[in-house]
Amino acid sequence: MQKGQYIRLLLATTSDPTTVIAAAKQMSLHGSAQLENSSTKDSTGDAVEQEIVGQSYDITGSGLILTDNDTLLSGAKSLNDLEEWVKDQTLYWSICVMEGTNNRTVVEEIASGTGKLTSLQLQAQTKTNASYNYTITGVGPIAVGTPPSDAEI
Amino acid sequence: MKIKGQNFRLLKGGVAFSEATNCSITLQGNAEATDTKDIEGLYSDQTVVSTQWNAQVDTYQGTAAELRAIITLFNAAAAVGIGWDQTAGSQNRTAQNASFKRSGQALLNDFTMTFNDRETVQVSMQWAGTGQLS
Repeated sequence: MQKGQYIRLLLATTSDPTTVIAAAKQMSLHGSAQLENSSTKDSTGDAVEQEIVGQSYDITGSGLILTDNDTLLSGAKSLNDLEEWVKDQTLYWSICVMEGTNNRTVVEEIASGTGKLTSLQLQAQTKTNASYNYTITGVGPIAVGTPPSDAEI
Repeated sequence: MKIKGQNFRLLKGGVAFSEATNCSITLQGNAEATDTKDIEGLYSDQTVVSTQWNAQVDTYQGTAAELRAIITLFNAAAAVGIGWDQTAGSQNRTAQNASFKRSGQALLNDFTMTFNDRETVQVSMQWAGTGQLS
């Protein structure tokens, strides 16, 4: 990566994955693998071999709601619309190297995938901005992008 | 020489994790279940019937190549060599001191990449040991 380039996790709709519509204050990609239950009654007390039998991942994010017209994701025109997204909205996510003014130009896609918005929490607390937290549950595997030929190794 | 945090390091494939802020290795002995309804309130004898180990590392900022490698490794669900050793000097880059050194095969069973408004990426990885730690 060069100076002035940053890595971001971005969300878009699957119908228009090239248009970035949300870059929240903080977002996390969390992958988790399930190990097989390998305990046996024949164990001699040594550590046993383990295998991964399942994988899953999710994306969590948070941000502040500054005005009543703020959109969490594309298509959510107001806070009244947000609950619609929990029903069955497929989203496209990607981890990209960005540059340019306000870091909005994609230089390189590191990884990507699709997911469903499975949790949305609106939070109101006195003397602070209202905020939101959400969880997107990954659907299918995580795709890894091909590095550019001049990528830094 | 005082032993400090920077005197220990976690390695993958013989190479230390870059920009690591915290790392640990945990050895666990699983004791047999000895609770019985006949106990008289005394501590009971315990016997370790199996052992396991795992490792964990947090790094300050991942590069594009590092993030790509982590996800590729997670997708592969394959064990890789994980090591833990002590450096000879006060920095993470000095030659290792063989007085405390362990290694084994481990599976990447959990990772978190956090992207925040400071434009940094913090990566946390957890490794489950598979087989003996030597």
